[in-house]
Amino acid sequence: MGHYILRRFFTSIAALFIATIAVFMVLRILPGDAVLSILADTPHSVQMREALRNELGLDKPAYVQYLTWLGRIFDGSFGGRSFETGGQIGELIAAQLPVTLLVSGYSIILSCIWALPTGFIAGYKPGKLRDKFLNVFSLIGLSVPNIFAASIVLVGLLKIFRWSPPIIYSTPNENLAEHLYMAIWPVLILSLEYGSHLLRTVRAAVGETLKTQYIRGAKARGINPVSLLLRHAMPPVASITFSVAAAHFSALIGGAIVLEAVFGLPGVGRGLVQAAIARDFPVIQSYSVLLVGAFLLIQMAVDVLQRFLDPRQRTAETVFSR
Amino acid sequence: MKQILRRFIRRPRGRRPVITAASLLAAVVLFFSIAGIITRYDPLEQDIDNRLQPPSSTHIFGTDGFGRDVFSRVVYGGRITLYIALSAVIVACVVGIPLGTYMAYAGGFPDLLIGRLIDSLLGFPLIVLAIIVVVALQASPVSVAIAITAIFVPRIATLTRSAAQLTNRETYIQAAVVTGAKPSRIIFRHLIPNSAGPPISQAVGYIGGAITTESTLSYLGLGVPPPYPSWGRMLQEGTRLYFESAPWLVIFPGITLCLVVVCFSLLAERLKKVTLSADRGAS
Repeated sequence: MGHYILRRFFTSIAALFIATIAVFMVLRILPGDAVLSILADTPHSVQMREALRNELGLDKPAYVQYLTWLGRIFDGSFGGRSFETGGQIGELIAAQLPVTLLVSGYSIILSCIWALPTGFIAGYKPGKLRDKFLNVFSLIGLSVPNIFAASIVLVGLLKIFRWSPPIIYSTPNENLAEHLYMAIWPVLILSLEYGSHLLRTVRAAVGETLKTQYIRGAKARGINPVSLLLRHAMPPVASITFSVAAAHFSALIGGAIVLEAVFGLPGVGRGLVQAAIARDFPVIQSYSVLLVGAFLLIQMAVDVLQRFLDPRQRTAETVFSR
Repeated sequence: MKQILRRFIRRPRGRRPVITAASLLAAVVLFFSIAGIITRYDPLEQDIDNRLQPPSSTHIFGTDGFGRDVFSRVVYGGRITLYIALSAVIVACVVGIPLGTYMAYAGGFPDLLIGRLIDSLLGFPLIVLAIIVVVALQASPVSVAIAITAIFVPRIATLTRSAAQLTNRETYIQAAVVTGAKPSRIIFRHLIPNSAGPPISQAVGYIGGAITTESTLSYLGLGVPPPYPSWGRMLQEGTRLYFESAPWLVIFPGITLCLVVVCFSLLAERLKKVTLSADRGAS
């Protein structure tokens, strides 16, 4: 097992490095001049432009810039300073990350609450009316673009309830009611999408599991339906759901990023969009490393946990080396 | 592929919603391609005297804050969006399917190397990768299309790779190797035609995703630059500026966007089922 974890860890690190190189290449080597876009709104001379280029280190060869940046990721500032504000990126992220984590966390919890039972209901008796209804519902939940849902919420609420989103964000410690009040709509919209993913996964997993021979065997032995479902059908369903839920985590974060920007929550998403509009390359790079790193970490954790929890996934190697 | 198409058309059970979705999409595409004929107004023409008019017989979707006709903006915006989404997904297939097939055929080190790169690209949320590419290029419809292509290539390549790995084990591939067929012939003549089904049916669903991504980018101010009309920016302007006074600015582009995306997912879901059953029938 230790062997497996170690190998998984190193492949994740390799993927992360490849990602940093890819992001760096895309941002720095493709046409487009950061200095020009920073100075676009101010009158400037060629000397000023060159001075700024020198100050930001953009006059050095690309590989030197890459290595400098990579070094800065690990020196505590998490990627140096922002072109735009001059602030340390590490501090920026430390302020924004909790917001995004809370919003995604709420969405995951809410999705589990509504989608796991309904998925079970749909998969238990496939083809029934309730299954068809839930199928259509989740298909719509998956396809409705977040921005449409958000616009409808904003316009509808304003028209009907005279409600507009709070402008100032408060942390749960400062003012829990305000915090939830601001987070509730993004969370609802996110959990519509993420929950629909979960619902479909659980439905498919329950349907497949109930068709297997061992469930049929258990039925033939006269095991009561409740223990049949909970004791016999649950483990494989949980295992599949767990891994699919983790795989969709990046879609969830993507949605959170968009909705933060729409509802004005001061999280990583709004930060990323602002940095993108200002062409603030160091900030964009650090955010990408953060997001990919988080995703790879979660994938790794899930793969390892799966091997512990699901005996079917243990290979001879992992069993013997344990 | 032919078998899949035939099944798609012939299988009678449960195909009504799909037929509806397919014909609706066909109508929308036709509608958008003859945009010049069906719209009475230029989507960019401003008419300040008639700003923020509610829907009426002259402007069936109303007018926006500059007095531009919302209907023709929805139609022309849809045209650009569809161009971008379709070309991005088609290019992603053209690049991704041979790439995935090559990975499955070659195996070993090339497979490992490209596989790692794809893994790391799959780690990005769709929208983040799109934002990075759009920022690196200049804002234009072409760079939005490139960004969307970039997010779907790794997905299509992974799907093709797993399909092609199965095909690669078939006896006829071994037979082709034994008869001395060149790798390029094996890949293009045997592997691709027999493994492209699942990725292509998935790609139809990706068109919906591409439309959503394009609209989201435009909504965030990173997509198709003004003055081109685009659904995303229409939604954004409608919500931000004319929140209270003119809900039609949000409702019409929003509903059109939603309808088109839902139709693509319906179609993709059906196609996926049919491909699956065709594969099972074949083996």
